[in-house]
Amino acid sequence: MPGPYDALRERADAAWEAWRHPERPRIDLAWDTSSLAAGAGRTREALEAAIAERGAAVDTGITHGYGLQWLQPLATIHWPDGTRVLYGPVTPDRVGLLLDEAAGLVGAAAELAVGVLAGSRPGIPAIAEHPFLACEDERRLLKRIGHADPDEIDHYIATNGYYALSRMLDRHHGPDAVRQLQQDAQLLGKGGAFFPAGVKWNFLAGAADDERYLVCNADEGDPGAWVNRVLLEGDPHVVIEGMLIAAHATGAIHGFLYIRNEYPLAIERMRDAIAAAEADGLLGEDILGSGFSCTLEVIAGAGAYVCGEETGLIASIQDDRGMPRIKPPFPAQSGVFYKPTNVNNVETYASAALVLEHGAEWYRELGTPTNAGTKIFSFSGDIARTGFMELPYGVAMNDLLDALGGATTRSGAPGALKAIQPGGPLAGYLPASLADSLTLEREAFAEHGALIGAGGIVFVGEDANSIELNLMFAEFLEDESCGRCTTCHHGNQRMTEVFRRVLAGGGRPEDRHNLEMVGDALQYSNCVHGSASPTIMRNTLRFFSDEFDAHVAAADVRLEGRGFVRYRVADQDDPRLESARLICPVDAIRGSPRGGYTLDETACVRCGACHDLAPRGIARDDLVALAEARAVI
Amino acid sequence: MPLETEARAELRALLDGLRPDDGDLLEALHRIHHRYGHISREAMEVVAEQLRLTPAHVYGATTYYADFRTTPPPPVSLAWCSGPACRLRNANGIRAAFEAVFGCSLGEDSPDGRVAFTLGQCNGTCEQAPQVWLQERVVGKLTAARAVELARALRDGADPETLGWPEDASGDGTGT
Repeated sequence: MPGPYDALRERADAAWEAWRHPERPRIDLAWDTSSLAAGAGRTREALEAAIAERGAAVDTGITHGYGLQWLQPLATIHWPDGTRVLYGPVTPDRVGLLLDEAAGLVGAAAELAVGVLAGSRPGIPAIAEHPFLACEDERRLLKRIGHADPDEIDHYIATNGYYALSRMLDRHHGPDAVRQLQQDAQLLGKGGAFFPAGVKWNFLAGAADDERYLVCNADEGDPGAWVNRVLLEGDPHVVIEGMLIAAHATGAIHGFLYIRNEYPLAIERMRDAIAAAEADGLLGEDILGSGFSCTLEVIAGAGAYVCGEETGLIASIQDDRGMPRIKPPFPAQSGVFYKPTNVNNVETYASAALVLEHGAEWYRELGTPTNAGTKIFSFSGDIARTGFMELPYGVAMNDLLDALGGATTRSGAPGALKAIQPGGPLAGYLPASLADSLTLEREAFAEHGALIGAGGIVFVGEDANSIELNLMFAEFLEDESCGRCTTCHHGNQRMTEVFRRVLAGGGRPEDRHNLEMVGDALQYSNCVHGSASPTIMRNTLRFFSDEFDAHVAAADVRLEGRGFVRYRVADQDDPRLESARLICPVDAIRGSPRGGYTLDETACVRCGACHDLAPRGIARDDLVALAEARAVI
Repeated sequence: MPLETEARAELRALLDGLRPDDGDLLEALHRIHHRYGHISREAMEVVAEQLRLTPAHVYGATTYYADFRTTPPPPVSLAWCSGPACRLRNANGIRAAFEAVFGCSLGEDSPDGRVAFTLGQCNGTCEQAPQVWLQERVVGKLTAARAVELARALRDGADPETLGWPEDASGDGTGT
């Protein structure tokens, strides 16, 4: 006898079929945080205006971007026969090309073609052949990303979404079996701690109190990481299904999705998805008529990195300041409102849904023996191609670098790699020389005193300054310390002071020791925000020892704390010097088109605007490099 | 019980449906911040009454989070992205340029009360680095020189809606 799920599936199949085989061509714009930053809003306005002007027989829709973010705004043309081709960057002035192509002028938008998503199109390779995707295997967590409309629950259901949930509730899987399955799959937490999800769920299932909660940690605060954002914005229902599976497996009655306030679109999409799931009886009371009930709500954070720590997050949910506290008690004993609680990352819940749908063996097919499965990563920094992908654990760093188009200099030209900065401000700073042996798995990073983290990796080019980056992370950690532990709030202040002084030209021979002592104190902080604070500093002192020492050796009281970067007039004949003079925000450049330009070093704020406009006339000197060069001579 | 004024009644209406011990404090603060652009002392008192907390508790939470202001906001907001991809592209220089033109440090309002210059956190649009958010809209691929021009225009009273748009057909981002 058909159940409630079958009725939903029937409706969803019809909607999905209509979307996949539209009556007339449709242009689906990538509609996500990245595409909007690239101006997708203006592209849509231009597209709609052009359609109206031409009276074109073309519709518009949305998807999520495919991961090739340097090509945003991305758009897909979707033909009635089901053929879909990805194009980018579709700036407002290029919408005409897309309309021509959609209307049947084959090759009109050829210069913007990125790859074929479905079917075939003459002269355009399949998307899988794009060099950016060379390291990917099967897209599992991302299987709907770019292939469906994230606002449509029917697209999720028609692609087998909520099927695992419905089977589970049809008594195919009891709570114990579901937890065991996650353990068999070796699903490890994807927020960076690699704790086995099934084991964590056992803690909650064994809790004394029946009022139990789930928390989904979507407070993705690591600068350079946007893994959770992609799932929340691109496939919100897989997160909901994962949480419902966890709720059933642990006896939880309510879940909180705590999403950082920097992700307004993710917050909106998740709230809409929750409402849609409730309307379809997939969420709330008596789900799919099974008697199982669970509700979910979204809580928007408000700008506090440390709320990504689970006890800080719990405090933030229950009306307190988001300050981490001492464990034990662990959340499974005392969590939200002092009730037993399970906290997992967004990607962990989503993975749990896949495990239940496809089985433990399928999950372990990809990855390595100790790091099973796939992981979404986001890549940024001094590389040619910024974006996200889903990789099996164990991919070689050098292969990945090829996929990313290689390292670049500060100006974006091809260059050499200096360092790899994984996992945000707590995780590490490794030299490029390790790229030959480094693989994307926990142990490979741990071996060098670093953490792989939650999936964000920043590549640092040859002309970056490691001490400047250390100061940036130290300042971040100081700002974001909750203030509970003296070791952390004062330790990070101290680390910031030392790096700031070294960078300003006031380094002292004892500063290495100072930093090591601060690191020793920091590691005794209560939560990981403090205890992992010294990781990047320690990696730097170990792997970039020369660079640190050179800064200390170049210390000079005559620098008067102004630091090692200097701008000076290098070529009086550069005709752009006058515009350099005019752009200076502090009027530090004097002279006239007749000549005699000077730059007042004491007034200069070293913004570099003059150098931007007159790179020949104004030189940018790095005094540390110059001092080193003199020492070599 | 403080006197029920029109302002308090309006605040209370805004908090309709929020309850004590229900994880509603952040939601309450967001609603008020969204409506008024800041959270006043009076608003904190109303939130405290509604959620049966002390005003001191609400004050503590409000000031704990970076996204809440306690004073009315200037008409223009400019948030500087502090993330690593931006730093690798002279974000520090760009910050110095804004500070010099606005005449205030990061985290302050410009002395003429026109611009709030705040620290923004990376949200993963790093292909736009270095970037700022002008009225919450990303202005990307900045240089220090473009930052000076943008800052001067804002200082001189230009409408932020007219500023910081990419040039069409710039060729940026094309390639492999």
